[in-house]
Amino acid sequence: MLMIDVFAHGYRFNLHLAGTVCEVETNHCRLGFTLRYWTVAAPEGDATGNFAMQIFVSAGSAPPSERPHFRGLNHVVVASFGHANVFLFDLLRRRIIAQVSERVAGDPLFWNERLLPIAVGVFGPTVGVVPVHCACLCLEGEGVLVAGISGAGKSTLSAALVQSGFDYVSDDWTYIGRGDGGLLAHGMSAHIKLLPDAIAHFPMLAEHSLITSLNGELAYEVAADAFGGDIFRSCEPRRCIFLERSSQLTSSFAPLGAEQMRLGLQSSVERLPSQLPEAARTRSEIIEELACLPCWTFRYGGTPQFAAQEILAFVCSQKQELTT
Amino acid sequence: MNTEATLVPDLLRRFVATPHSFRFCIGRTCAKLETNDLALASTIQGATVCREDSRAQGDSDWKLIRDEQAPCGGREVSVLSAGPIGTLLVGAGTVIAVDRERREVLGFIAPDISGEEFIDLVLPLILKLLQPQANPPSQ
Repeated sequence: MLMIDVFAHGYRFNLHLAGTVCEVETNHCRLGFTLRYWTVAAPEGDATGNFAMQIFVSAGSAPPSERPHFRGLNHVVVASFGHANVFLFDLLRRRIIAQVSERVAGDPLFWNERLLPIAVGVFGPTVGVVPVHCACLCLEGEGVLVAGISGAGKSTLSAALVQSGFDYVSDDWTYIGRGDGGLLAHGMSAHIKLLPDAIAHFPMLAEHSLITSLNGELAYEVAADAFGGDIFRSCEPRRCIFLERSSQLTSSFAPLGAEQMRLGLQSSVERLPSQLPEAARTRSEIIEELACLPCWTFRYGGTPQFAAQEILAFVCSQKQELTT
Repeated sequence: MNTEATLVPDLLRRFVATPHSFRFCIGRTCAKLETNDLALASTIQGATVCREDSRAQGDSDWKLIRDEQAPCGGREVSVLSAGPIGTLLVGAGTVIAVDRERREVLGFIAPDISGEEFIDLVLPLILKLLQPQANPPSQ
């Protein structure tokens, strides 16, 4: 039996994650190097909430299992990536305790693409952040949230939008929090996940290998800047577009009301347990603000590149209308 | 995000109904148990002292979900503990969290852990995790 008491450790540093600050404490001298992309010297002024993470790194080379096992009850969530790599999230005390193998401690891909997005998603509104199932692209500092049901083409369109001149924030989950000037949309992954058939639209994918992603699907996971744009960690969301596929090779935009937007957002977020009333209130407030963004349904057929050009032209015309 | 209102899936299985409920005592621990598994409830009742009177100070609240979707296999045991909270993993799919401060035991039992195995293997570990933790060594 493996029994570990995670006491205070010798190494401490802060991570800036989707507008929150995570205070890390660990026994492993190199974990800070693995997490350097997120490290900040001191908590930043725009942080909306804090949580703590105590990580015990044990000797060993056990890799994380490909399919994590997640379960939650009341204020506790457990994520197990095999016995050597276990994370316990305490949502009331805003704290993670974890044990990981030395191999996982030195694996930036595991932390950057799996564990840290999961952590922000699990804590979500308890630290002032609402995870929303949508992509976020940015044009001249203004964020566009791109939503739609699974299979509507969010990720392929995200890649095409980056090719068209947008900057990239996220392609699948966007974390909405509050900043000094209003809402902020944060991304947690620098990679776009594309299914194998996307190669028909992006021949450059031939240079990449298919990998098994977190949900078990085979996919390409390609750094967003490989499509030409820059990667932004956050931006101010100004518009929202809901994708609807059509068999016609045309496109159209139709305004979507705040009430429909609110219903769509509420129906896509996870239920919260009764132990977290403050988190539920925070989430409702953020959804209310998000529902007030100008929003359209974008119905389109044809290639993602065609759709991206249509969206680019639409967003540019909207910006021009506002300035004249 | 979807504009059509849909039922959000309970991916973590947080909201599984637990219709079977009773109070029991084992050693110095008294608890109220809620579970979705009648067979597990019967086995625990058979191995503990049933208590019908009202809740006493120091009682703990247990919620145990028989998790038919959990992975099976293995009997490796891992215990991770820090401050007021700890977690117990048994095999591939049994996960139990113990909050000592709130006196709560929250867990999912894999389909391949029988009631008897729960009593012999898992229950003693839960009781141990529920005990107040010794002070950490000075740093």
